[in-house]
Amino acid sequence: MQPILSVHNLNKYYGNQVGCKNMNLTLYPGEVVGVVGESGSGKTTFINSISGNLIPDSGKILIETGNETIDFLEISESLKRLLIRTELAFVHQNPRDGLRLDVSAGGNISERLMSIGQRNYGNIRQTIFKWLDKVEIDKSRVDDFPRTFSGGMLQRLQIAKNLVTSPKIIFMDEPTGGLDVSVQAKILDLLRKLVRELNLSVVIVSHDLAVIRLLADKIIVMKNGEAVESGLCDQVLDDPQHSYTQLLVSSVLQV
Amino acid sequence: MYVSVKGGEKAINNAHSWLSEIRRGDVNIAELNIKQISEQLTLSVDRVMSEGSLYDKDLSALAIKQSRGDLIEAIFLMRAYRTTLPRIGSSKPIKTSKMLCLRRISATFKDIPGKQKLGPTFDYTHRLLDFKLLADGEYEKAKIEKYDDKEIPHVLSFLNKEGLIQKEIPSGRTSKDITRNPINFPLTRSERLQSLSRGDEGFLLGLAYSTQRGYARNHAFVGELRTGYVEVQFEIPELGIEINIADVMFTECESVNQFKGSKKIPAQFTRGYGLVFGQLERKAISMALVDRSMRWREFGEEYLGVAAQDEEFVISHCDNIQATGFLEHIKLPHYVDFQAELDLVRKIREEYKKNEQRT
Amino acid sequence: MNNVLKFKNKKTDVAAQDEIYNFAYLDENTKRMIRRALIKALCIPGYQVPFSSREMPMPYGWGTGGVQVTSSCLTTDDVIKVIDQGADDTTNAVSIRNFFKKTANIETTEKTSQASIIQTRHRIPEEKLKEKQILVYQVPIPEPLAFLEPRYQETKKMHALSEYGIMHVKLYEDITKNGHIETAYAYPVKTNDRYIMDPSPIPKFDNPKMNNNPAIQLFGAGREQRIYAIPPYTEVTSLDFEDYPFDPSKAPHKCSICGSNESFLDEIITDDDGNRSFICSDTNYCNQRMENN
Repeated sequence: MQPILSVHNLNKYYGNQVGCKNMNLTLYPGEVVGVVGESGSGKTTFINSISGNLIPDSGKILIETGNETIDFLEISESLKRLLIRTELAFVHQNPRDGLRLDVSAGGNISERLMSIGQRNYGNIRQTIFKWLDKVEIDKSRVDDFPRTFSGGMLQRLQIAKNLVTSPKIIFMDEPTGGLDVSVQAKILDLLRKLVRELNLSVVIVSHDLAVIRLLADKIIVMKNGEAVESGLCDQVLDDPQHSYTQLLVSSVLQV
Repeated sequence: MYVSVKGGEKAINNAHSWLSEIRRGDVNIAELNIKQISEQLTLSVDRVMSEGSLYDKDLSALAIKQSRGDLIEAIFLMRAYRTTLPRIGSSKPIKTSKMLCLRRISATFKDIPGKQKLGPTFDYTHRLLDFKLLADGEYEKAKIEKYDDKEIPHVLSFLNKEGLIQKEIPSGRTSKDITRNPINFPLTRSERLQSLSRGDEGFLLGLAYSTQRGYARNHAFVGELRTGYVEVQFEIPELGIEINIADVMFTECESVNQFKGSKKIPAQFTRGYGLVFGQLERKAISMALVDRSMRWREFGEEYLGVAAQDEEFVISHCDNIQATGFLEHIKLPHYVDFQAELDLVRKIREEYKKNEQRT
Repeated sequence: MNNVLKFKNKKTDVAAQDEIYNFAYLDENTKRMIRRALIKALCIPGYQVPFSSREMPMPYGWGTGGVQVTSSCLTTDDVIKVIDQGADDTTNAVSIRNFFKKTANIETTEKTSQASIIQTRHRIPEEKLKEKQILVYQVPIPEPLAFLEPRYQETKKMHALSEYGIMHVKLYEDITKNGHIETAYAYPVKTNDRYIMDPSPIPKFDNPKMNNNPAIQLFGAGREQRIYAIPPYTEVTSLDFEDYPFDPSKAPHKCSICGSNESFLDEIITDDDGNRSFICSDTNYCNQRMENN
C-alpha cells in the first residue's frame, strides 16, 4: 500500500526563527497521525505548511490521489486550491475560522458540494441532513445561522462542512481546543466514531496527549520546531525514549 | 393612452434653458466675470483645480460660474475637460524645498531655519461676520518685507539627520498617471497619493478626524505645512534643455506621527504626506493623516479593521466625482429592475398565501 | 488622426466650441487603449479587463463605461441606437444619443434592425440581433461577486481560481428562505463555461437572449474601470439548480398597446385608485408591431 501523504524534510522559517525544521511524515489511508507538543513547539506551523495554509521554505509534500502522485509544492495555485476544496479538509481550532457565520448551517455544508459541481438542490438537502445526523446536530437547525449555535455545535458543524465531500486527507488543528471539558469529550467521541466508520485519513495536532492517545495510530512529538520522537502511538507513549516525551507522558499520568 | 416615455428630448431642452436662466439670476444685478471669481473666490478656485487635477485658474473660475457655485459640479466640469487634453509629457519632480513660501509653519519646533511665516491665514481671525464687506472696496494692505529667497529646508530633514524619523526611500520607479492607467489594488504609494490628492476634501477630513479620535490612532503633529509657488520644470527632448513652464501654487504638509517601534525597527517618528494645488491646508493635512494611517503594513503595525487603514475602502470611495455620479444615478429610471422585483415579490407572496391556506 | 481631420473638415455646422473635441469625443490614443481592452475581453469571454476609464462629460453611473466603449467602436458609417429601460426616448437615452450626434455627427435610429451599434441600459431589445451588430451594455457594478465579497483583491483571486462555491451558496440560501432564487435582475451567468459574469442590471427575462447571440456583446463599467465581452455565438448560462431551473419569468399580462404577450412589460399606474396597466418596455418593438398591424 502506498502512503496517501508523505512529507520529506520540510522546513519553515519566520525570518531567523525556526517554525519547523526537518519534518517528515507518512500517512497511509485510514490512518491517524497525531502531532503533539507544547504551544510554540511548531506543530501548528507544521500542519499549516503541509495543508496549503502556509508556504514552507523547503521540503517535499507528495499527495497520492489514486490516479497520480501530486507534488503539492510544485503544482499551480489553481490546482492547489482545487485540491484544498476537494481532496483536502482542514478543521480549525476555532470553528468560526472555518465557517461562514452569515450563511445558514445547511448553506455552510452545501458549499463544498456545490464547488465540486453538485447542482441538484434536493440531493444537496438530503446530503446536508445526512451529515447533520452524522455529527448529531438536530435536523430542525438546518436553516439556522451558526451564530445561534453553541461552541460544541459549531465544531460539529465545521466537521460536517469539511467531511461532506469525503476528502482524502483531513487536517485538524486542536479540534477540541476551545471547548469545555464535557463538550470536549463528546467531540472526541464523535471524531473517534467518524474515523472508524468512514476510515478517514487524518493528521491531527494537539497539545493534549489524551486526545492523541485516543485517536491516533502514529505519533510525532515536537519540540522547538523539530520532531524529537515518532512511531506507533502505543509504543511511544508506553515506552517513551526521548526525555521530553518522557516528561510529557509522566505529566499526563500524574493527572 | 399613457405616453410619459415620450417627450424626453423636449423636457431636457426645456430643463436646460431654465437652468441657464436661473444660473444668471436677477438680470438687474451685474453678472459675475471670471476674473472676479478667480481673484476673489480663490479658495474655491483652488479646490476645483486640486480635485479637478488641472491647474488653470480661469477655467476653474469658469467651472464655478457655470455650476452656480456647486464645487463638486465644477470639479466634474474640470475633470471632463481635462480628459480631452493631450499629454505632452511629464514634468521633472517639483522641488518643494525651493518653494517661494507665502506661509510656512511647524508645530514641532518653535524656531526653525527659514523661520515660521504665518502668511494669509484665517487661523487667528475671530469668526465674526465683517459687515464692512457689505460696503464696497475697503481692505487692509499687507506690509511688504524683503523675502530671503534662499532654499528653505524641510523641517523633518532635521529629525532625519538624527535618524529619529523614518526615512523615505525613493522607489526608483516612475510614477504612473492614475488617470491614464488602470489601478489595481494593492496600490503603490505614488498611486495612493495621487488618488488622495484628487480625493474629496470632506471625505478625507472625516477620515483624518476619525484617526485622531482613536480609530487607528497614531498621534499626529503638523511637522511642517507650507504654501507657496514652485517652479515646474519640463525637459524638452528635442532641445535637450529644461525650461520653467509654470509657477504653480502648492500646499504641502508633512505630518510627524508617533511610532512605538517593532522588533525590526527601534522607536522613531513616522510621516504622512499631503500635497495639493493652491492653498488648501485642511485638505493637505487630512491627506497626510490618512496617508500615514494607510501605511500600517509598511511599519509593521496592527490592522485594526478601521476605515482609515483600509486602502481599498478609502481609495475606492474618496473620489467625489465617482461617488456623486453613482449616488445620483439612482435618480435615473429603474423601471425595468423595479418591475422584475415587483413580479418576483408578487409571486413569492402568492405562494406564501397558498401555503398558508393549505395549512 | 485621419478621423479627426475628416471630421473637422466635413462638419462646418458644428458650434465652434464643439470643434475642439475629437470624433466621438475621445482622443484616438484613448480609443486605441479601449479597443485593446475590448479585444482582450472578447478573447476571454466574461473576464473583466481593467482599463483606464476617462472622466466623461456625463456622470459616473450614467453610462460612462458604455459611452467610452461605443465611442471607441464608432466609425463614420455607423448607425446608432440608444435605449434606456428598453425605450429610446427616456431622458438618459436622449442625452447619450445627443452626445453622439453632437460629437460624431452620426446617423441615429430607433429601429433595432437598422442600428449597427446599440447602446443599452438595463434591457436587451426584443427583436433578435444579427451578425455585425454590436450591443453595448452600460454596467454599474461589473463584479458579480461584489455583494458577497466587496474587495476586488479577493474577487480577482476567486475568478482566477474558479472559486465560485459561494455564489451557489447564495442561490441555495435564496431557495431555502423563499423557495425561489431571489435575484430578479442582474442575474449572474456563466460565460463559455468559465467566468461567472454580471449581465448588468437587465431583468432575468433577458438573460436567455445573451446565449448564442450572433451579435457582439460588449460591457463597459466606467466608474469601476472594467470592460468585458461576449463574442458572437458564445454559450451563456444562467446559474441555477437542476431541480430549481432558471426561470426567465415576467408579469403574466399582455401589452395593453400592442397586445404582445412575449415582451417584457413595464407596469404603469393609470389613475389615483392605483389601477394598473402593462405596456412593452421596448418601445421600438411595440411601435413596430402597431405599424405592422
